[in-house]
Amino acid sequence: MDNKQAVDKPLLLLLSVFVVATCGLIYELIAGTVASYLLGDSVTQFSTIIGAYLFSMGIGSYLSKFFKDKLLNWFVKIEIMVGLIGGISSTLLFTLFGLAVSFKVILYALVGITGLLVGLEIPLLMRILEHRYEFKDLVSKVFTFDYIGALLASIIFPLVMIPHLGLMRTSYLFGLINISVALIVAFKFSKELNNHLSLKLYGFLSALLLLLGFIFSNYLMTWTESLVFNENIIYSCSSPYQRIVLTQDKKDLRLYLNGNLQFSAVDEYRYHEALVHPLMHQHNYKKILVLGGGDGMAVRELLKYPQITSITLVDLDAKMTDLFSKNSLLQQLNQASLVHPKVKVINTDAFQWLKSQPEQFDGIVVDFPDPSNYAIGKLYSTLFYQVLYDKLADSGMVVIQSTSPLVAPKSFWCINNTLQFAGFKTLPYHTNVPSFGEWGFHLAAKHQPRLLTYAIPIQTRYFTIDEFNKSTYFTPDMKVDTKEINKLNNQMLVHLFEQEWSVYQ
Amino acid sequence: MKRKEFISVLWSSSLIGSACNQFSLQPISVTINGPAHHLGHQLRQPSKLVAKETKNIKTLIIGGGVSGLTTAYFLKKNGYEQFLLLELNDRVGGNALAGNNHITGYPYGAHYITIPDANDKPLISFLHEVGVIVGFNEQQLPIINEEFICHAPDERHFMNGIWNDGLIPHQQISEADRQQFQRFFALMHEYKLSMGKDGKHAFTIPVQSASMDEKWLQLDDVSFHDFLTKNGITSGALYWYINYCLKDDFGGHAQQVSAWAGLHYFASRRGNAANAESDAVITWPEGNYWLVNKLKKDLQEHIINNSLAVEVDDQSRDTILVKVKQEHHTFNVKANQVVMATPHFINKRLLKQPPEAFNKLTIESSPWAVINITLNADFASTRGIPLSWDNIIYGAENLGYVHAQHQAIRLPNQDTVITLYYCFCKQTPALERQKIQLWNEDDWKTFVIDELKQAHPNIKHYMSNIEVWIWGHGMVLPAVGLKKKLLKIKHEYSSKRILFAHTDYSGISIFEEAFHQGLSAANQILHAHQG
Ligand SMILES: Cc1cc2nc3c(=O)[nH]c(=O)nc-3n(C[C@H](O)[C@H](O)[C@H](O)COP(=O)(O)OP(=O)(O)OC[C@H]3O[C@@H](n4cnc5c(N)ncnc54)[C@H](O)[C@@H]3O)c2cc1C
Repeated sequence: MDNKQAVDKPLLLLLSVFVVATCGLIYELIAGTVASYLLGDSVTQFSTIIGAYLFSMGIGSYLSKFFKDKLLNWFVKIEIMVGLIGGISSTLLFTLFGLAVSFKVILYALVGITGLLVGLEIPLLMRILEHRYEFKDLVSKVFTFDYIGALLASIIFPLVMIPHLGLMRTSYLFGLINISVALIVAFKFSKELNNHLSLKLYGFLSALLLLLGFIFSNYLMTWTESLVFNENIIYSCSSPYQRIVLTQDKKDLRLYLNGNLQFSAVDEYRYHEALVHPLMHQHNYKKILVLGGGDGMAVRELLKYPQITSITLVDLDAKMTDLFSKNSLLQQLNQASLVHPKVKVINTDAFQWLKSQPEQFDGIVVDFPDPSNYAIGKLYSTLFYQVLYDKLADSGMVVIQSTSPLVAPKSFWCINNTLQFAGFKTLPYHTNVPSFGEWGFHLAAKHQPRLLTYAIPIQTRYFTIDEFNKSTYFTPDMKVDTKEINKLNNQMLVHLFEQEWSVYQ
Repeated sequence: MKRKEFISVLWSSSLIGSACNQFSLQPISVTINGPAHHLGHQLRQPSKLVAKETKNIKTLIIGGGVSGLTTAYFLKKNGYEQFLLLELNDRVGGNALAGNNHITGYPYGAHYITIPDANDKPLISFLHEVGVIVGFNEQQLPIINEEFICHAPDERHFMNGIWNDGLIPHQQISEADRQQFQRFFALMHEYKLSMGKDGKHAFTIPVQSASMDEKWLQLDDVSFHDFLTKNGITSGALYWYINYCLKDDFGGHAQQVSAWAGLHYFASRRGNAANAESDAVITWPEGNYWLVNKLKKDLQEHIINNSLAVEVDDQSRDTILVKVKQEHHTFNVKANQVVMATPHFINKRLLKQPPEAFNKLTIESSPWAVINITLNADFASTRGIPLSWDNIIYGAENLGYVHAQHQAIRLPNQDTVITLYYCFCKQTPALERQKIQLWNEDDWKTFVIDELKQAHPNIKHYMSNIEVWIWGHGMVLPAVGLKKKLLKIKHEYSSKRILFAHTDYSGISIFEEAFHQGLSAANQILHAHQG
């Protein structure tokens, strides 16, 4: 019997227990990490993954009794399989998340298979070694190595592996280690193994695959991310407030904040011209305030008006304004607007800042993210608009991005009502931005904002006074009768916005 | 979660960091604090303290809670300057104190008021002055500053594994329970409309404006629980809700609280505002300390902090001698008039020779713990309604937690603070006080985690700091019979020289009552001064 001969080199086999245990736990931690990012609530994810893993290990141990002979063969085979599956697991999860519908099934299947295989290994090994040691020594040795391996994994995973290698490389690396052990065993026990050549071949092929994966994991990462964005990522970073991703392909440059498209270089001019020129045309506004708009595009349009003496831009996120002040590609896009001497950038919370500062402004551009949660909903409330009203010069005017009147008409008109409730006279309008769809804005002032009557010589690609005047007309599908007002104590807008956009998606 | 969102978080290294943090054994720091309780024992032996000097003042206010501050506020407002206010803590505020950290301010005690009653003119004009009310509409209804009305979502409750809207479990209970809730509210509504023969509301705030008809006063002789069972209320879910409310406002449950007080909780509110529901609350991150700051704004030169009154001697004919202990210094204040804006159990000790009836009156109050927990805002990601202002857990002993940053108008950080309220009123107040006095940091930590784990099983992984604030004597417990005793005391022991102004003497401790306690004292002083 092969297992009787195999006991020559027991230490090697015990070391392989150690490796198997380490690798197994690492795969499990990887699955837990991915799952907690994906499904939120890391604690739940980790506990269910750990539970599933341990349970499948149990199944593996149970099934081990059905392996009657060629135990060493099976041991090597299983070790190769674990290494291969574990090694590619993170890539698999990343890729499949973009493609597959029911990601959870795949996740738990993967955890289950890994657990099952690892669960098979220990009993098999114990049986291989059963005549080498006395039973009590055997048990004590095998489990000691097993648990030390687990300890090692749990320490190096968060402290060393994730910070230095990242998820993908970590899994490739441990896959490789796993297979190396299988190969070493295969070589040392060549004689005891049936068909050792084919085992070695499998081992080498798998190792090669994982090695390639390890080397090219950067490309793989970009590739998997592009499966989601369908574009090339040229820059990404996280600030305390959001995830900033810039993508580029042949013609287009796009900015995503938390995965939501902010602009596409191909048609952003439409959005920003529509945002700024109706406000500035025909008015001799000198002192301008921009709230949000850290990309500097609105400021670029504003700077076309030489009479402006100062532009104050307040954006919460310093990472964002830094990026758009310093990156040369982005400077081209916003024409270095953020470093213009007339422009002052302040990184702080817009609402708090506005409330506590004493000045009034002639023109105010309000370009906040859509009201998709309660925190942002406060920036569209009667209270916010009342503060805005106080900080606006009597002859001044405000423009507010107001989400899509086509997708979310109730939300759009709720913003209108809210502005009016705060004392503003309004003039709503909309424009088509292909990458966004039909987009809406409000002009608001202490006097009734009017249509434009004469053009002034400003270079624009899209904006004309005729186009603007037309855009104040709303077709019936963009009109709804709603009386809702967004107050802090009802947060009506967030409810409407969620209703309307969820249908759309 | 959408694909894009997934990826956007997936790649964010900061999240990788925080995921790891959660599993590193991040220590949770615990501090235990309370109103300057180390000074308390000094009250026991005033004679051992020798005063070195004597200050003279016309009016002395002892105690800088809302009651005492309101007296001071109105004296000042009416141009009366000859007064001082003594406060034993390093800051005024009393039960409405607050703390703060790098994230937000948060309450140590009182944290909200309700929409004011239209008949309460002094309160309405005060709230107008300090900017809580910003104007009035055509019907003269107050327009409340929107920033301070509790923002949406205001309340949620945890029941059957999910967070539900509001405080009342409409969906989660049986039809029979639902009917009981309806019936209870209908009954309370009836009492709300009840008037006395004297033309006053049977139940109203401030209680001094309520009807004195025996018909209503006799409800002081029975517990609210007995009153309810007599009226056919049996539902367990309903009793839990009622007890939750009573504990929250009175620090006692339906068996302890009189029916007269219970009805005041449920049938006295007639607030009306132009821009808020009548049951809306008005609140700030730092709770009622916001109001304290308004009250004390112009009082700097009148307030003396860190000063414990240890004895009030009114034996001499024309002046009252108050002995005051500071850390390294004891002095006397000779005053023509003293306002004791301090709780009754302290007043009994302060008065050198308290009259017998006064001494015999015991006003109970349960101990409280108000626990501010700093934690990662992700803790709240649970099923159902998102994190709200008030979050209560059905069936729990605690009174739920309040999200301190709920009223903030800036975008939130990753970390936040929640305030867990706990009233220790299972046993008698004295026993409960003894029990928690022995608890150390670890006991409190375990306690907090246990109280919250039903709704947030993993909460300990999110916490970084626990600040326990202990009130040995919370607010007055309006026990069976207390109202009548208070009326009697008022009759027998009121002098022009010593005025009592504390919510203990209202029998109900809420901001509005403290305000009127203080205002009445101020009016008496001003009156005497002019007359
Ligand atoms: C945990 C808790 C939560 C509450 N929540 C609310 C709420 O949300 N809304 C609400 O309306 N009410 C609430 N209350 C009720 C609150 O008690 C009242 O609103 C009000 O603040 C009471 O004010 P007061 O001045 O009558 O009493 P206190 O606040 O008790 O004031 C007494 C003051 O006297 C001082 N003092 C005592 N002895 C001496 C001495 N010997 N010498 C000098 N100074 C002394 C004390 O330090 C204190 O500052 C709450 C109370 C508690 C305990």
